[in-house]
Amino acid sequence: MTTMRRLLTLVLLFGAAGCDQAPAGRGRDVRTFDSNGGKYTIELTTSPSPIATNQPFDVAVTVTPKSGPAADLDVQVDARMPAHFHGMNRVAKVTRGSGNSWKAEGLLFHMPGHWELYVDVTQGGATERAQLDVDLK
Amino acid sequence: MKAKILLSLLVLLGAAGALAWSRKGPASAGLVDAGEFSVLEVERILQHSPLGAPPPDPTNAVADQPAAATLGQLLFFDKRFSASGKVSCATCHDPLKGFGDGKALSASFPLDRNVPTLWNVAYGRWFFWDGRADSLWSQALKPLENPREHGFTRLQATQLLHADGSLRGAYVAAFGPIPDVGKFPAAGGPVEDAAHRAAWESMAEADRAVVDRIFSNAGKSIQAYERRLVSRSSRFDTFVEGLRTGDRAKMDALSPSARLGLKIFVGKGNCRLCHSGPAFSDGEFHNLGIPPTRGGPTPFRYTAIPEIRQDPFNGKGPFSDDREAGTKRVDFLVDLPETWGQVKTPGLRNVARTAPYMHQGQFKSLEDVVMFYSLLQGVLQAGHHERTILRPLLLDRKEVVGLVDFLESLTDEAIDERLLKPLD
Repeated sequence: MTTMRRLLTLVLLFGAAGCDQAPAGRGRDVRTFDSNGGKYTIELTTSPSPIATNQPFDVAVTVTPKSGPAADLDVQVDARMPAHFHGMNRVAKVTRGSGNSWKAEGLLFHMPGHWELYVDVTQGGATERAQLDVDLK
Repeated sequence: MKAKILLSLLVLLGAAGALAWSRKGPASAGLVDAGEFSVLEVERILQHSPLGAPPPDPTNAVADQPAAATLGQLLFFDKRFSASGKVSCATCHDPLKGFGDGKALSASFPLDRNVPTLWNVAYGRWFFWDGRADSLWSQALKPLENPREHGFTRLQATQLLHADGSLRGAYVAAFGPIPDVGKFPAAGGPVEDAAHRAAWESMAEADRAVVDRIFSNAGKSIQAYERRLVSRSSRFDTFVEGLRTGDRAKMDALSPSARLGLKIFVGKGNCRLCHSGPAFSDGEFHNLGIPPTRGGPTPFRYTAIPEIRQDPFNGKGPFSDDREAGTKRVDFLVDLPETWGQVKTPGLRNVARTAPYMHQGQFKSLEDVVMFYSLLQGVLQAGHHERTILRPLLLDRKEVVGLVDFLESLTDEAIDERLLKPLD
C-alpha cells in the first residue's frame, strides 16, 4: 500500500507538471489564502490563468471572514512591483457580484519579474490586506 | 482489481505528463547542451519570436480591410494634405529612412521630439512618445492639424477627400458614400488659427459631426495602411526557429558575437524587462533620465493621460467603432506622479534602420545607446517621486559589440517594397 501511495504521489506530480502549461484563459486555478492579519480567507482566480506578462487580466475574489458577520465588506484590488518601486500603469475597476464576491477588471502586469497582487478588505472602517506573490518569467 | 484500474489510470496520466514535458524538450536542446545558454535564457529567448499578427483594434472597424489600407496609403504620401502643399506623412516618416527622418530633431519642423519609426507601430497600445493617443487612427489625425507639422484643417481635408475623384473613389470603397461637404466652409477646425477656429465654430454641431466622421475615417484608413508595416522576418527569428526545432543550420543565422549580445539582452543586461515580447516593447512608459537636448524637462506621460481623456477621437468617443472596448482603455488609466518624464519604450525590430535613437535622438548609433546603458554617463538624477532601477552594466568591449550585433540581427530582410512608395 505504501508503494502504491508513493506511486500515486509521483505520477500525480508528474502529470500535474505536464498539465501546467495549459493555454492562457483555459485554467481556473483557485488560490486560497488568508489576509495578512488573519481576519479573512480569500479565494482568488484570474482570467486568463496563468497571468501572462503585459497581457490584461481580470481577478475574481471571494472573501470569507473567519469569524463574525460578512456584512458591509468592501474590496479593492491593486498590485505593485516592489523591486521596481512602481505598480501597474492602470487602475482596476472593481465591482461587487453576488454574496461576498467581487470582480476586478483591467489589471495588467507590464513587466516580467516579481509582483505583489493586493486584495484590500475593508469592514467597519478597518482595512486588512491580503496579498499574493506572482512571478512572471 | 480496483488497484489495477487505478494504477492504469495513473500511468496514463503520468504518460500524458511526460508527453507534455517532452514537447518542451527540443526548445532547450542544442545550445543548452553546449552550455551557451541556460534553460532560463532559452525560455526567455523564445518569448521574443515569432511575432504574430498585430493585435486587433476594435475601435476601428476597417483596421484590416484592404480598401481602407489603399485609401490610407494614398493619404500617407499625399502632400496636398498640408497648408504648404509640401508636407505628407512620408515627409517625416520616410520609408527609405526606416519610416523616420534620420535626424535627431527635425530641421524643417520646430518639433522637440525625434520622429518615431512606424515599423510595427500596430503592436503599440499608446501612440506618440508620450502615448497621448489611445489608437493609431486618432494619432494619425493630430499632425494634420498641428500648425508645426501639416498645418492643415479637418475641413480642408474633408473637402479634398470629397473633391478629388481618385480619393473619393477610394473613400467610397472603404466607407461608403461620402456626404456632400461642399456647402461647408473651405477651411476650419478647432485649431490655433483664429480664422480657421471661427469658421469651425460657425458651423452647426450636426455639420461638425459630419466633418469629424469623415476626418476620423481618414485616420482609420491611415491606420489600416500602417498596420501593414510589419517587420518580423529577421536573422534573429531564423535563429529562434532553429532553437525551437533543434535545427543547427538555422541557429547559425546569429553570429557568435550576436549570440553573446542576446545572452546579455535576456540575462545580466535585463533589457527584456522593458523591451519584452516579440515586438521588443512593453508598450508602456519609463524615465531613463536622459538629458534633453532641446527645451527643458518635459512631463511627457504625466500630461498625456489627461489629454487622452479629453480627446473627442478617443476610443470611448462618438467616432469609435467599439465604445465599450475604448472605454476600458481610457477608464483604466490612472494619474500617477511617477509618470512625470516617462516616455514610451520603442520596439527594437528594424532598429538598425532607425537611427538616431531616444526621444530626442540623443544617441547617433546603436553603440552609443549600448554605451549609455553600460556607463549611465550624464544621466539625470531622479527627482521627487522618481526612482530608477537602472544600474551601469559595465560592459567590456566584446559585450558592447555583441549587443550591437544582436540588435542589428533584428533587421527584416523581407520587406514588401509596395508599402514603401505611393500607390500608382
